[in-house]
Amino acid sequence: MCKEFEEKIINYLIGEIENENEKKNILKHINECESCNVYFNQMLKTINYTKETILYNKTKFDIFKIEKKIRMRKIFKRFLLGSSIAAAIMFIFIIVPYFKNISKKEVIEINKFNQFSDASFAIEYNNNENYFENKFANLEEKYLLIKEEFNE
Amino acid sequence: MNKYENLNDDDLIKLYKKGDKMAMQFLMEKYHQYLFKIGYSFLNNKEDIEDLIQDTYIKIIKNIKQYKMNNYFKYWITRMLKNNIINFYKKKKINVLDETQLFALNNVEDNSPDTMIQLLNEERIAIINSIINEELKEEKKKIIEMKFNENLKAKEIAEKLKMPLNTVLTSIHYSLIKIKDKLKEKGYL
Repeated sequence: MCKEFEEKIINYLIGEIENENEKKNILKHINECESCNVYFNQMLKTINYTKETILYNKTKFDIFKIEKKIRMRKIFKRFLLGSSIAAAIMFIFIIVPYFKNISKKEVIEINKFNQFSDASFAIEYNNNENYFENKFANLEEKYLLIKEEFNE
Repeated sequence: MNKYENLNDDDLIKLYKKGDKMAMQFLMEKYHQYLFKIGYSFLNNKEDIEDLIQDTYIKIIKNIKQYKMNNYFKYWITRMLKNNIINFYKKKKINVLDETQLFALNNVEDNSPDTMIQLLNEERIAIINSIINEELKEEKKKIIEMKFNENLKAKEIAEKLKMPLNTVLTSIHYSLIKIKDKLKEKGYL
Protein backbone atom coordinates (compact mmCIF):
# COMPACT_ATOMS: atom_id res chain seq x y z
CA MET A 1 0.00 0.00 0.00
CA CYS A 2 1.06 3.61 -0.45
CA LYS A 3 3.16 4.68 2.54
CA GLU A 4 1.98 8.28 2.41
CA PHE A 5 -1.65 7.19 2.77
CA GLU A 6 -1.17 4.76 5.65
CA GLU A 7 -1.51 7.35 8.40
CA LYS A 8 -4.02 9.41 6.46
CA ILE A 9 -6.39 6.46 6.10
CA ILE A 10 -6.32 5.77 9.85
CA ASN A 11 -6.81 9.44 10.65
CA TYR A 12 -9.74 9.55 8.27
CA LEU A 13 -11.36 6.50 9.84
CA ILE A 14 -10.96 7.73 13.40
CA GLY A 15 -12.39 11.14 12.53
CA GLU A 16 -9.21 13.13 12.87
CA ILE A 17 -9.36 14.79 9.46
CA GLU A 18 -11.49 17.89 9.31
CA ASN A 19 -10.46 19.37 6.00
CA GLU A 20 -13.08 18.41 3.40
CA ASN A 21 -10.64 18.55 0.48
CA GLU A 22 -8.26 16.25 2.25
CA LYS A 23 -11.11 13.82 2.94
CA LYS A 24 -12.08 13.87 -0.74
CA ASN A 25 -8.47 13.24 -1.78
CA ILE A 26 -8.20 10.24 0.50
CA LEU A 27 -11.46 8.75 -0.77
CA LYS A 28 -10.43 9.42 -4.35
CA HIS A 29 -7.15 7.63 -3.80
CA ILE A 30 -8.86 4.67 -2.12
CA ASN A 31 -11.12 4.27 -5.13
CA GLU A 32 -8.17 4.31 -7.48
CA CYS A 33 -5.61 2.28 -5.55
CA GLU A 34 -6.50 -1.34 -4.90
CA SER A 35 -4.00 -2.02 -2.14
CA CYS A 36 -5.06 1.10 -0.27
CA ASN A 37 -8.66 0.04 -0.72
CA VAL A 38 -7.89 -3.30 0.91
CA TYR A 39 -6.00 -1.54 3.71
CA PHE A 40 -8.91 0.87 4.21
CA ASN A 41 -11.41 -1.98 4.61
CA GLN A 42 -9.14 -3.93 6.93
CA MET A 43 -8.57 -0.89 9.10
CA LEU A 44 -12.29 -0.09 9.12
CA LYS A 45 -13.04 -3.59 10.40
CA THR A 46 -10.22 -3.34 12.93
CA ILE A 47 -11.60 -0.09 14.32
CA ASN A 48 -15.13 -1.47 14.51
CA TYR A 49 -13.96 -4.64 16.25
CA THR A 50 -11.86 -2.59 18.68
CA LYS A 51 -14.81 -0.32 19.50
CA GLU A 52 -17.02 -3.37 19.96
CA THR A 53 -14.49 -4.99 22.31
CA ILE A 54 -14.07 -1.86 24.38
CA LEU A 55 -17.85 -1.53 24.65
CA TYR A 56 -18.11 -5.20 25.55
CA ASN A 57 -15.62 -4.70 28.36
CA LYS A 58 -17.33 -1.55 29.54
CA THR A 59 -20.75 -3.16 29.83
CA LYS A 60 -19.51 -6.15 31.79
CA PHE A 61 -21.55 -7.05 34.83
CA ASP A 62 -20.19 -5.84 38.14
CA ILE A 63 -22.36 -6.79 41.08
CA PHE A 64 -20.88 -4.11 43.34
CA LYS A 65 -21.47 -1.33 40.83
CA ILE A 66 -24.99 -2.54 40.04
CA GLU A 67 -25.95 -2.78 43.71
CA LYS A 68 -24.48 0.67 44.31
CA LYS A 69 -26.54 2.07 41.42
CA ILE A 70 -29.68 0.48 42.84
CA ARG A 71 -28.93 2.01 46.26
CA MET A 72 -28.34 5.42 44.67
CA ARG A 73 -31.58 5.20 42.72
CA LYS A 74 -33.44 4.31 45.94
CA ILE A 75 -31.89 7.31 47.71
CA PHE A 76 -32.82 9.56 44.79
CA LYS A 77 -36.39 8.24 44.76
CA ARG A 78 -36.69 8.80 48.52
CA PHE A 79 -35.31 12.30 48.08
CA LEU A 80 -37.85 12.99 45.34
CA LEU A 81 -40.65 11.59 47.47
CA GLY A 82 -39.49 13.63 50.48
CA SER A 83 -39.27 16.79 48.39
CA SER A 84 -42.73 16.19 46.95
CA ILE A 85 -44.19 15.68 50.43
CA ALA A 86 -42.42 18.82 51.70
CA ALA A 87 -43.71 20.80 48.72
CA ALA A 88 -47.24 19.50 49.32
CA ILE A 89 -47.08 20.40 53.03
CA MET A 90 -45.75 23.85 52.17
CA PHE A 91 -48.54 24.28 49.69
CA ILE A 92 -51.21 23.22 52.15
CA PHE A 93 -49.96 25.18 55.18
CA ILE A 94 -48.38 28.29 53.66
CA ILE A 95 -49.48 28.99 50.14
CA VAL A 96 -53.13 27.99 50.42
CA PRO A 97 -53.78 30.06 53.62
CA TYR A 98 -52.00 33.01 52.06
CA PHE A 99 -54.22 33.00 49.02
CA LYS A 100 -57.20 32.19 51.22
CA ASN A 101 -56.48 35.37 53.23
CA ILE A 102 -56.07 37.40 50.13
CA SER A 103 -59.38 36.12 48.89
CA LYS A 104 -60.97 37.25 52.14
CA LYS A 105 -60.00 40.82 51.42
CA GLU A 106 -63.07 42.90 50.95
CA VAL A 107 -63.68 46.47 50.12
CA ILE A 108 -65.89 48.20 52.58
CA GLU A 109 -67.76 51.34 52.00
CA ILE A 110 -67.05 54.06 54.54
CA ASN A 111 -69.89 55.98 56.07
CA LYS A 112 -67.92 58.70 57.90
CA PHE A 113 -64.38 60.00 57.63
CA ASN A 114 -62.62 62.36 60.07
CA GLN A 115 -59.01 63.50 59.79
CA PHE A 116 -57.24 64.77 62.95
CA SER A 117 -54.47 67.37 63.38
CA ASP A 118 -51.76 64.68 63.86
CA ALA A 119 -52.64 63.34 60.37
CA SER A 120 -54.36 60.25 61.75
CA PHE A 121 -58.00 59.78 60.97
CA ALA A 122 -61.05 57.89 62.03
CA ILE A 123 -63.51 56.12 59.84
CA GLU A 124 -66.89 54.61 60.34
CA TYR A 125 -68.14 51.75 58.25
CA ASN A 126 -70.93 49.27 58.18
CA ASN A 127 -69.67 45.71 58.68
CA ASN A 128 -71.42 42.54 57.64
CA GLU A 129 -73.11 42.08 60.98
CA ASN A 130 -74.83 45.41 60.57
CA TYR A 131 -73.30 47.46 63.38
CA PHE A 132 -71.01 50.44 63.28
CA GLU A 133 -67.36 50.26 64.20
CA ASN A 134 -64.52 52.76 64.16
CA LYS A 135 -61.28 51.77 62.48
CA PHE A 136 -58.12 53.56 61.53
CA ALA A 137 -56.68 53.32 58.09
CA ASN A 138 -53.75 54.96 56.39
CA LEU A 139 -54.08 57.96 54.14
CA GLU A 140 -53.65 56.06 50.92
CA GLU A 141 -56.86 54.20 51.47
CA LYS A 142 -58.73 57.45 51.71
CA TYR A 143 -62.41 56.67 51.67
CA LEU A 144 -62.14 52.91 51.31
CA LEU A 145 -60.98 50.38 53.84
CA ILE A 146 -59.43 47.08 52.82
CA LYS A 147 -60.54 44.61 55.42
CA GLU A 148 -58.42 41.50 55.83
CA GLU A 149 -59.32 38.55 58.01
CA PHE A 150 -56.42 36.43 59.21
CA ASN A 151 -56.73 32.99 60.72
CA GLU A 152 -54.70 33.67 63.86
CA MET B 1 -14.77 -18.71 41.31
CA ASN B 2 -14.26 -22.45 40.82
CA LYS B 3 -16.61 -23.36 43.62
CA TYR B 4 -19.49 -22.08 41.50
CA GLU B 5 -18.71 -24.00 38.35
CA ASN B 6 -20.74 -27.08 39.15
CA LEU B 7 -23.76 -25.16 40.36
CA ASN B 8 -26.78 -24.44 38.20
CA ASP B 9 -28.34 -20.99 37.78
CA ASP B 10 -30.94 -21.47 40.50
CA ASP B 11 -28.35 -22.67 43.00
CA LEU B 12 -26.26 -19.57 42.29
CA ILE B 13 -29.28 -17.33 42.81
CA LYS B 14 -30.04 -19.08 46.10
CA LEU B 15 -26.47 -18.36 47.20
CA TYR B 16 -26.82 -14.72 46.17
CA LYS B 17 -30.03 -14.42 48.14
CA LYS B 18 -28.13 -15.73 51.14
CA GLY B 19 -25.58 -12.93 50.67
CA ASP B 20 -22.95 -14.42 48.37
CA LYS B 21 -22.45 -11.62 45.86
CA MET B 22 -19.78 -13.44 43.92
CA ALA B 23 -22.30 -16.16 43.04
CA MET B 24 -24.35 -13.57 41.14
CA GLN B 25 -21.17 -12.15 39.60
CA PHE B 26 -20.28 -15.60 38.32
CA LEU B 27 -23.79 -16.19 36.99
CA MET B 28 -24.06 -12.88 35.16
CA GLU B 29 -20.57 -13.14 33.69
CA LYS B 30 -21.81 -16.33 32.09
CA TYR B 31 -24.65 -14.45 30.39
CA HIS B 32 -22.92 -11.16 29.62
CA GLN B 33 -21.94 -12.10 26.11
CA TYR B 34 -25.39 -13.47 25.37
CA LEU B 35 -27.15 -10.28 26.51
CA PHE B 36 -24.56 -8.09 24.80
CA LYS B 37 -25.10 -9.94 21.52
CA ILE B 38 -28.83 -9.27 21.62
CA GLY B 39 -28.42 -5.62 22.59
CA TYR B 40 -25.73 -5.16 19.96
CA SER B 41 -27.93 -6.57 17.24
CA PHE B 42 -30.85 -4.27 17.98
CA LEU B 43 -29.19 -0.97 18.76
CA ASN B 44 -26.52 0.85 16.83
CA ASN B 45 -25.46 3.58 19.17
CA LYS B 46 -22.68 2.75 21.62
CA GLU B 47 -24.17 4.80 24.45
CA ASP B 48 -27.60 3.27 23.92
CA ILE B 49 -26.21 -0.26 24.11
CA GLU B 50 -24.36 0.59 27.30
CA ASP B 51 -27.49 2.09 28.90
CA LEU B 52 -29.63 -0.81 27.77
CA ILE B 53 -27.32 -3.47 29.19
CA GLN B 54 -26.72 -1.63 32.46
CA ASP B 55 -30.42 -0.97 32.89
CA THR B 56 -31.20 -4.61 32.27
CA TYR B 57 -28.66 -5.65 34.88
CA ILE B 58 -30.22 -3.26 37.38
CA LYS B 59 -33.68 -4.68 36.68
CA ILE B 60 -32.41 -8.24 37.04
CA ILE B 61 -30.90 -7.55 40.46
CA LYS B 62 -33.86 -5.44 41.61
CA ASN B 63 -36.37 -8.10 40.64
CA ILE B 64 -34.39 -11.16 41.57
CA LYS B 65 -36.75 -11.81 44.49
CA GLN B 66 -39.56 -12.30 42.00
CA TYR B 67 -37.68 -14.95 40.08
CA LYS B 68 -39.28 -18.34 40.55
CA MET B 69 -36.67 -21.00 40.96
CA ASN B 70 -37.63 -23.01 37.91
CA ASN B 71 -34.33 -23.18 36.04
CA TYR B 72 -35.55 -20.69 33.46
CA PHE B 73 -33.19 -17.93 34.44
CA LYS B 74 -31.89 -17.45 30.90
CA TYR B 75 -35.44 -17.15 29.60
CA TRP B 76 -36.29 -14.73 32.42
CA ILE B 77 -33.36 -12.39 31.69
CA THR B 78 -34.00 -12.59 27.94
CA ARG B 79 -37.57 -11.47 28.49
CA MET B 80 -36.34 -8.60 30.62
CA LEU B 81 -33.90 -7.47 27.95
CA LYS B 82 -36.57 -7.77 25.25
CA ASN B 83 -38.94 -5.56 27.23
CA ASN B 84 -36.14 -3.08 27.75
CA ILE B 85 -35.43 -2.94 24.02
CA ILE B 86 -39.12 -2.35 23.24
CA ASN B 87 -39.33 0.36 25.94
CA PHE B 88 -36.16 1.93 24.59
CA TYR B 89 -37.67 2.24 21.12
CA LYS B 90 -40.85 3.73 22.60
CA LYS B 91 -38.91 6.19 24.77
CA LYS B 92 -36.73 7.38 21.95
CA LYS B 93 -39.83 7.65 19.79
CA ILE B 94 -38.00 5.81 17.08
CA ASN B 95 -40.43 4.27 14.64
CA VAL B 96 -41.26 1.11 16.45
CA LEU B 97 -39.21 -1.85 15.37
CA ASP B 98 -39.88 -2.95 11.82
CA GLU B 99 -41.40 -6.34 11.12
CA THR B 100 -38.10 -8.15 10.63
CA GLN B 101 -36.71 -6.75 13.85
CA LEU B 102 -39.88 -7.64 15.76
CA PHE B 103 -39.72 -11.15 14.37
CA ALA B 104 -36.11 -11.45 15.43
CA LEU B 105 -36.84 -9.98 18.86
CA ASN B 106 -39.78 -12.31 19.45
CA ASN B 107 -37.64 -15.23 18.48
CA VAL B 108 -34.78 -14.41 20.79
CA GLU B 109 -35.59 -17.08 23.29
CA ASP B 110 -33.75 -19.47 25.46
CA ASN B 111 -32.98 -21.89 22.68
CA SER B 112 -32.90 -19.59 19.72
CA PRO B 113 -30.08 -20.26 17.32
CA ASP B 114 -27.35 -17.66 17.16
CA THR B 115 -28.26 -16.92 13.57
CA MET B 116 -30.99 -14.74 15.00
CA ILE B 117 -28.38 -12.63 16.63
CA GLN B 118 -25.57 -10.79 14.96
CA LEU B 119 -22.58 -12.88 15.77
CA LEU B 120 -20.03 -11.56 18.13
CA ASN B 121 -16.93 -13.58 18.09
CA GLU B 122 -15.63 -14.55 21.49
CA GLU B 123 -12.18 -15.33 20.19
CA ARG B 124 -11.94 -12.03 18.37
CA ILE B 125 -12.84 -10.17 21.54
CA ALA B 126 -10.26 -12.19 23.43
CA ILE B 127 -7.56 -11.40 20.83
CA ILE B 128 -8.20 -7.66 20.97
CA ASN B 129 -8.42 -7.74 24.76
CA SER B 130 -5.12 -9.57 25.01
CA ILE B 131 -3.42 -6.94 22.84
CA ILE B 132 -4.95 -4.03 24.75
CA ASN B 133 -4.30 -5.50 28.17
CA GLU B 134 -1.06 -7.36 27.68
CA GLU B 135 0.82 -5.98 24.72
CA LEU B 136 0.15 -2.27 24.92
CA LYS B 137 1.96 -0.15 27.44
CA GLU B 138 -0.23 1.56 30.05
CA GLU B 139 -0.09 4.90 28.27
CA LYS B 140 -1.07 3.47 24.88
CA LYS B 141 -3.85 1.46 26.50
CA LYS B 142 -5.18 4.61 28.12
CA ILE B 143 -5.07 6.53 24.84
CA ILE B 144 -6.89 3.86 22.86
CA GLU B 145 -9.57 3.60 25.57
CA MET B 146 -9.99 7.36 25.68
CA LYS B 147 -10.34 7.42 21.93
CA PHE B 148 -12.88 4.64 21.56
CA ASN B 149 -14.51 4.56 24.95
CA GLU B 150 -14.90 8.25 25.65
CA ASN B 151 -15.01 9.23 21.96
CA LEU B 152 -12.45 11.97 22.44
CA LYS B 153 -10.57 13.69 19.65
CA ALA B 154 -6.80 13.21 19.62
CA LYS B 155 -6.43 16.89 20.49
CA GLU B 156 -8.58 16.48 23.59
CA ILE B 157 -6.62 13.40 24.65
CA ALA B 158 -3.36 15.31 24.19
CA GLU B 159 -4.66 18.12 26.37
CA LYS B 160 -5.88 15.78 29.06
CA LEU B 161 -2.70 13.74 29.17
CA LYS B 162 -0.49 16.77 28.62
CA MET B 163 1.40 15.30 25.72
CA PRO B 164 2.02 16.37 22.10
CA LEU B 165 -0.79 15.73 19.60
CA ASN B 166 1.55 13.76 17.34
CA THR B 167 2.45 11.40 20.17
CA VAL B 168 -1.24 10.66 20.71
CA LEU B 169 -1.88 10.07 17.01
CA THR B 170 1.20 7.87 16.66
CA SER B 171 0.09 5.87 19.67
CA ILE B 172 -3.38 5.29 18.19
CA HIS B 173 -1.85 4.26 14.84
CA TYR B 174 0.56 1.88 16.56
CA SER B 175 -2.18 0.20 18.59
CA LEU B 176 -4.57 -0.15 15.66
CA ILE B 177 -1.90 -1.54 13.35
CA LYS B 178 -0.92 -4.04 16.04
CA ILE B 179 -4.54 -5.15 16.44
CA LYS B 180 -5.04 -5.29 12.67
CA ASP B 181 -1.95 -7.46 12.15
CA LYS B 182 -3.03 -9.87 14.87
CA LEU B 183 -6.58 -10.12 13.51
CA LYS B 184 -5.19 -10.69 10.03
CA GLU B 185 -2.88 -13.38 11.32
CA LYS B 186 -5.82 -15.14 12.99
CA GLY B 187 -7.93 -14.90 9.83
CA TYR B 188 -10.43 -12.30 10.97
CA LEU B 189 -9.60 -9.80 8.24
